[in-house]
Amino acid sequence: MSKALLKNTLREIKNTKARFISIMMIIALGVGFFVGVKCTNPSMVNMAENYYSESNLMDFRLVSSVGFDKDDVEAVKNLDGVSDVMPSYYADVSINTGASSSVVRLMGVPYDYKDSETINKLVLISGRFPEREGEILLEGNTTPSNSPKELGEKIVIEEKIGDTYAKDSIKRLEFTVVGFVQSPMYISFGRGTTNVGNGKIASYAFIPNEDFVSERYTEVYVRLQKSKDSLSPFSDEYKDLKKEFEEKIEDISDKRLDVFVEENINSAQRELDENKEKFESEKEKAQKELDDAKEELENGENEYNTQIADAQKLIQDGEEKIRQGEIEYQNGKEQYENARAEFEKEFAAYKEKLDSNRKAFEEAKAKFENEQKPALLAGIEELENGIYSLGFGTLQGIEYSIPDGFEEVKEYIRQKESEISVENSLSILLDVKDFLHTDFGDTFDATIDDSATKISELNISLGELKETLSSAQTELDNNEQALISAEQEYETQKAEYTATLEASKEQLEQAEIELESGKSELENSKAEFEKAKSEGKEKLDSGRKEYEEAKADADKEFEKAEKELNDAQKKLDDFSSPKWYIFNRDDNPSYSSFIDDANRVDAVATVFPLFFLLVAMLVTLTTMTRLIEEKRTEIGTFKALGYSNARIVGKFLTYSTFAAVFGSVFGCLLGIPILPKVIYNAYKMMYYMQDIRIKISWPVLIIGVVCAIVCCTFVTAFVCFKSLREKPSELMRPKVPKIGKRIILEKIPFIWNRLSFTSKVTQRNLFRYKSRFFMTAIGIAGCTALIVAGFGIKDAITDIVDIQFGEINKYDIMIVSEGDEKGDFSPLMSTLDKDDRIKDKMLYMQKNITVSSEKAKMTDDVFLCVPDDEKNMDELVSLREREIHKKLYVEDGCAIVSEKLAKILSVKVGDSITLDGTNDKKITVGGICENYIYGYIYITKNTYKDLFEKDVEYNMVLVNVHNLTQDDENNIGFDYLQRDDVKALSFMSTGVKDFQDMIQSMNLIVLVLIVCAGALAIVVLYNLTNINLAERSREIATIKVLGFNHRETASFVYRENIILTVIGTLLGLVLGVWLSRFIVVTVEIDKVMFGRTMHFMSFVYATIGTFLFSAFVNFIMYFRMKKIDMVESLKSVE
Amino acid sequence: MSLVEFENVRKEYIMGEVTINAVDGIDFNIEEGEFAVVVGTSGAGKTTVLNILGGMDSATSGTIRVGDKNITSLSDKELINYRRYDIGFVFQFYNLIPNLTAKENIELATQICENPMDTEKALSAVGLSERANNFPAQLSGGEQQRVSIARALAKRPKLLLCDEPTGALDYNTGRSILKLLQDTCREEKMTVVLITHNSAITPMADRIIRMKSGKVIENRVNENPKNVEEIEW
Ligand SMILES: Nc1ncnc2c1ncn2[C@@H]1O[C@H](COP(=O)(O)OP(=O)(O)O)[C@@H](O)[C@H]1O
Ligand SMILES: [Mg+2]
Repeated sequence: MSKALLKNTLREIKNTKARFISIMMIIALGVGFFVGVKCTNPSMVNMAENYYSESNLMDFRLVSSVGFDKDDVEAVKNLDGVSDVMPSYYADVSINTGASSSVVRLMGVPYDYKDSETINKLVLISGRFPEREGEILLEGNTTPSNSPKELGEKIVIEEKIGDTYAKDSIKRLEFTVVGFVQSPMYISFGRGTTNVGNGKIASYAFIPNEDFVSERYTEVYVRLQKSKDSLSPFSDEYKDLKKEFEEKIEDISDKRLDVFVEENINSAQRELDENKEKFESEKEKAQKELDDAKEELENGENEYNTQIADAQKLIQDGEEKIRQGEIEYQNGKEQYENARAEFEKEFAAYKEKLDSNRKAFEEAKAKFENEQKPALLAGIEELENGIYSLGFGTLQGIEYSIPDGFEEVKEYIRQKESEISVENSLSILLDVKDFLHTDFGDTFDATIDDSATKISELNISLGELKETLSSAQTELDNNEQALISAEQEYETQKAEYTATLEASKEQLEQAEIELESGKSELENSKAEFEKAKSEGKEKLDSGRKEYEEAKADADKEFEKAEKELNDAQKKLDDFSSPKWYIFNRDDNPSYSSFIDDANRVDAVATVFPLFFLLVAMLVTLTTMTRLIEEKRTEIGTFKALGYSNARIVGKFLTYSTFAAVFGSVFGCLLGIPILPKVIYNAYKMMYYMQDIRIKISWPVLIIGVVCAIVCCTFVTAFVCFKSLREKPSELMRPKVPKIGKRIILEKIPFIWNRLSFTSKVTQRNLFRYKSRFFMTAIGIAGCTALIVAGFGIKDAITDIVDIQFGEINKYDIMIVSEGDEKGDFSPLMSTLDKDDRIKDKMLYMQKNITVSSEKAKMTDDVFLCVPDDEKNMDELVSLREREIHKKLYVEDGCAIVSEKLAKILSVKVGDSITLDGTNDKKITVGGICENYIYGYIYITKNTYKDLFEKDVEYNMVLVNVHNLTQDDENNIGFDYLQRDDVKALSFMSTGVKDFQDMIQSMNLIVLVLIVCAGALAIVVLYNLTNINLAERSREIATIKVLGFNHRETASFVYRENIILTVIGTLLGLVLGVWLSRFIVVTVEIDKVMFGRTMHFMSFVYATIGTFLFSAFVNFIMYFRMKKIDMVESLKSVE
Repeated sequence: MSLVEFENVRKEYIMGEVTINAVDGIDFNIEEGEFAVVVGTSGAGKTTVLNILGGMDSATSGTIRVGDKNITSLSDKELINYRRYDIGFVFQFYNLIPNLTAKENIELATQICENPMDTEKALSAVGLSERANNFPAQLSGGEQQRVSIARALAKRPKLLLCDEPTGALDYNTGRSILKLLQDTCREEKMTVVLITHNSAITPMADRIIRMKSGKVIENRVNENPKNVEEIEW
């Protein structure tokens, strides 16, 4: 570069300070942000590397189910590549901290600690290391659950934790605090979990190795030579190394465990087996004796039982008989009573009838004697009188008629007259007649005949009457006779019946007496029987009791012996399948999350700066375009003077390169020291690590700077060459102002005529300066999008916790349990039932599982969940579709898969997945549920049975609590962990807290983003407004000359800005949704799905933010506008 | 009393160590209704004087009175109102807003006045009624200058200031513009101050103010102003 050109360039820069600074700033922002954020990850990683190596962080932590002996440790130490091995002890104990107890993990520390190069070097914050037994080092970072302790204070360990005695693992219960330390094993708040106490380790502490009871070490720390030689723990080499050594250690563990088994287990097993055999034979013998006694007893019992049964039968028969007799007697009595009643009734009726007959008869007799008889007798007398008088009369008549003469005859007749009676009157008459016949012939015949006829007639009547009388008399007599005989009959009958009744009564009484005597006889025999029975029973019972006691004693002894044997066997079994567990650094959640966090920052850093770079290019483009337009005459002159295009372009390229270089340098200078610190400080809230040491990532820095410079020069060259294509003569003339154009809106006079004058101008301007329109709109859109994205990420992460722990996994506590020793959950469940702190509860199975679809396979952080009561799980685990919140229910025959998992497996509803361990049985996806943390597959217990061909083995109870306070949490923890059927408790609040910490740190990153977006917004808007003002200074001066006041002038210019801001903001909101979605998906890790919904307020914030930035810029520009010098601006066009 | 009175007005530009006296203590006056021409060589300070008179620039010292206003002591706001209501300005390079039609350019000025001339009338006064809806780029230089004049006239200013209005125009067009200005002055009784470096124009003026190196070297009333048609240059 020639000196003149350099000078020219410098002068140009001086003349266009604002523009130069604009370009510089935007490049500084882009590069600074990119490089700064990109350096955060290496710096964090670098810091972690340093921290690991400075603190001699272990590479592996070995824990064995049977502990380690010196030979084990030696074997590991002798491995090629292992630099250090530190055997140690640990035990979880409970320390009372006032209101409640908390679990403390005690770890061993050797006396010569400070002299040796130990693994996991402790940082002594105050005090000293233990020098004798009974001294303790506490952790220096007091977490909230720790009550602060002082040096020299005594720590008392509780005797029991759960059902384990502390003294089983440590020698004493009282320790003196001699110092405070920080362990590199614990770099964040998490202290891990345990299966005792309330399940949460609250803090850690160190005591001398000698204070532990066991002679076998409980853990061994291993450090590799390569780590010691500062191999980065995040390198691929380390990963390979880790794998390699894990395998090596496993090999060793196999060998060492074989030795252990041979030395300790096998002989013990043999002895145990012998004991078992002995026990079995003894048990058999005793059992036989018992059995014999039992048989005898049973025989006696049987005999007794038959005898009793016979006697009982007899008694029963007697009883039956008595009952029968009684029934018979009762029947007889009843019959007798009935007969008697009937008899009395009958005879009463009989008598009554007789009496009425007698009465009727007496009445009839009286009537006959008094009325009929006299009447009849009178009739008879009359008739007899009649007959007599007739006969006598007739004879007298005849006598008188007989002439005297016939005295004889007369005599005769007189004779006859005297003779005459009623009875013979007729015959006399007839005799007379005959007699007369002789003397008188038939002279008297007629008279006599006539009388005779009359007499015979009277005789007939008389006969009749007499007959009537006599028959009536006879009838009466007959009746009387009958009556009398009836009366007699009655009497005899009555007597007869009475006799019969008396006889049967007597008979009954006899029967009753007989019955009574039978009864008393039976009672006697019954009493006798009962006595005999109870006596027999007593005898038998005492025999039985004797036997039972003997048996119980024997059983108890057997059981005891058996339990002893089983315990021994179990212990032996525990040992006989001993295992070494190998933990590496990734198994420490603090370490893995630290690196996750660092990587997350890196992912954000990849996306955002691209955006900045894009906007920077736009800004450079507009600025350079304007600059070159302003310099067209100069360019033309140079061209006319014969300068080569390259030289002319060179000037502008130098200009922009200067801007790019200075901007980059400036950006790096600000970004690299500031951003990693700010971001790291956000994380430092969660990690106990030293301050960050910034590590510049040179490739990133070079990429950033080169990108900026290349983009800048490229844009400049592009604009320059566009101008250079014009002829010098054209260039010398002022650029023809763009022709004013009518816009479409003017074709609609209705609207157009209503617009104010300035709005018309604004509309035309908007359409006239299209490029500026787009630049501004895109620039503002970019800012809005960045702010939206910032808030969007925040929303996405906030949703994780809020929704996951507030709306999906609604349970408060997870009680890990496999039921009691029989696998029975009912004792636990009934306790929970009675516990009024507990609101809801459900048996649940949740276990890690590998799941695969046709396209993918997922192993880590996938859980198979089987609820006991899938229909009523909503209060504890609520399944729903994310977008429309439609409730999902687990149904037989299909599985509900969590969203992210479904995405990884790329399955939709209706597709099928395969669970490991089901012999490749396929199961249909029945629903995809909203879920953010980890992957879940929900199936019903029936489906589980179908798939795995066994019943579900529940391993936890999910529980909801009414209002859970920290105290409640501890109380519930202690209450339930004491139970044998509860293995651990996990409180959701802990999970929530961990994630909230993560969110807190994300908030700061969001703030950084928003500040950057704001800076970007200001630079872009300032630059564009600046150019706008420069381009239109002539117009502005003109209207000023015309007498426009400041407000009017401002509205002439700002209306456009406002419209552009609004358009840009709207565009940015849309763009922001894409951007944040893109970032969220990029940043996401497999086990976590970020929220997918943008909160409405985020858009509001972004809009307000953009408007504020825009207003701020316009406010500043107002003063610039005010200062526009009319005279200067209106000087003749150059 | 004169409409415009300059009293010992100075304007200095300080350029580092050099101080340029663009206007070096001038006194002159212009009567109401006059057609005044300020003439002088390039760099004589004419534009400076006009700018100060128009309220676009401030004098370093001295007093300028226009009517009953003392321009030099006006506040920023008063100055704006002065420009708004009392001054019409015609520029050498027209300074029309390119994005507005001829008519709209005039409206731009009239919308802020208290008693503006009808836009149509202003346009017909400059003979451009036909071109009302053309954009500046669609008009020739002379036509643009006429629009510019119409814009200034439409405000019905007390003073019409024209800074070399014919400078960018060809001879004939220039003449027609000058004629327009002279006619306006006479018909509307408007006070016109016109700047030119061309002395040949002076005969048409009522008053001639001659400047040289920031000083007024002559200020005389032309008893016999000629019509534009009568002069040649
Ligand atoms: N802004 C300025 N800075 C410095 N000097 C200036 C400025 N404006 C004008 N001048 C000087 O003032 C003098 C008068 O200028 P001007 O009034 O434009 O002259 P004229 O219009 O008569 O040609 C000139 O010598 C010019 O160089
Ligand atoms: Mg001039």
